[in-house]
Amino acid sequence: MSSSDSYGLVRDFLSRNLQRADEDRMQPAAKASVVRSFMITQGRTTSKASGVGFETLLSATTLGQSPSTKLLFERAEIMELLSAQTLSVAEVAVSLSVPLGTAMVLCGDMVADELLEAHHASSNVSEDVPLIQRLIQGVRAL
Amino acid sequence: MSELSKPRPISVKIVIAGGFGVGKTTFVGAISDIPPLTTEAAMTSMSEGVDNRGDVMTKTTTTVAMDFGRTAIDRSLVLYLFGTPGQDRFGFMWDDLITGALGSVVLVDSRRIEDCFPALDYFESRDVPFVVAVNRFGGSMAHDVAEIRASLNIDVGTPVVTTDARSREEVKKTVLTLLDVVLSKAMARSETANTG
Repeated sequence: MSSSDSYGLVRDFLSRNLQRADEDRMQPAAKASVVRSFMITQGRTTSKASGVGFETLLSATTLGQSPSTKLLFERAEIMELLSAQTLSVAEVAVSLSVPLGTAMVLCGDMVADELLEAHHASSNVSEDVPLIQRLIQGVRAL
Repeated sequence: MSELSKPRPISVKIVIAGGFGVGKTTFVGAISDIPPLTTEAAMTSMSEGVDNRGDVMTKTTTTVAMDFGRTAIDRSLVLYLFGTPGQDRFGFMWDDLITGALGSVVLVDSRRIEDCFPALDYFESRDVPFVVAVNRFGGSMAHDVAEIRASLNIDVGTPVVTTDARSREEVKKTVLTLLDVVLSKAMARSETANTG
């Protein structure tokens, strides 16, 4: 196998499109990326930043978008994705075709490194009465 | 509006739980602005004999699909609905899932009520507000709501409602039922905090 072949194989997720949901669809193992999740995250299952969840909205910081910031592979992709728009960790996972846990580690690290900004709701949403009331009004009006 | 005066967008999350094939993705899709997206979460072990939906017997994977949708509530508030199968085999993922979640809708198929038990146990033990919503699938139910409530043995304060996962209005109503529970819990908590 030539080196270009293996490169294409390894990085196949870069060209994959967003996957539409299908009720409880199971991924066949054969479609899994050759790059194992633990390699992307360097063996870690938790990120440097706490409080980044599946639904946390993220956007690129000035530092992250600075030309002097050099990022590789997944981190570069995340930066490109979040330069123009605000998306959640879950949407980042879908765009990069990596598992949710992997996206959480990558994004959390980038938040800790101040490359991304996490837009947190209040520290404890389940006690935030005004926020819940706003949500109720909004859902009624949908 | 300038970049500075723009309110920072924030997000909230609701978890849609229930057994396989109960209509979680349909439910999510009914009020989502985008077609539900799917991502995968790692599972600790092979799922054989656990994910049994009858027609899906071959399990050659160690990942499980997690579907979600997003709904813009107003200019700076986004609601995410995460649909996930209710099994106890990947509890670690559930911990991530409920962290920061407002609450959960537990979807029930009246022919397979027992499928929702792991989800109920989990939310009860973690004190997560939830409602039980029986998906009618547009047809008749094998058991009525009173029978289902009796078999679930849940707190009297937990609503048990019927819904149709395909109907935007029904799904809205179910989410609002949950948000009412969430609101009364939040108000009770802030009162306790103020008086205590």
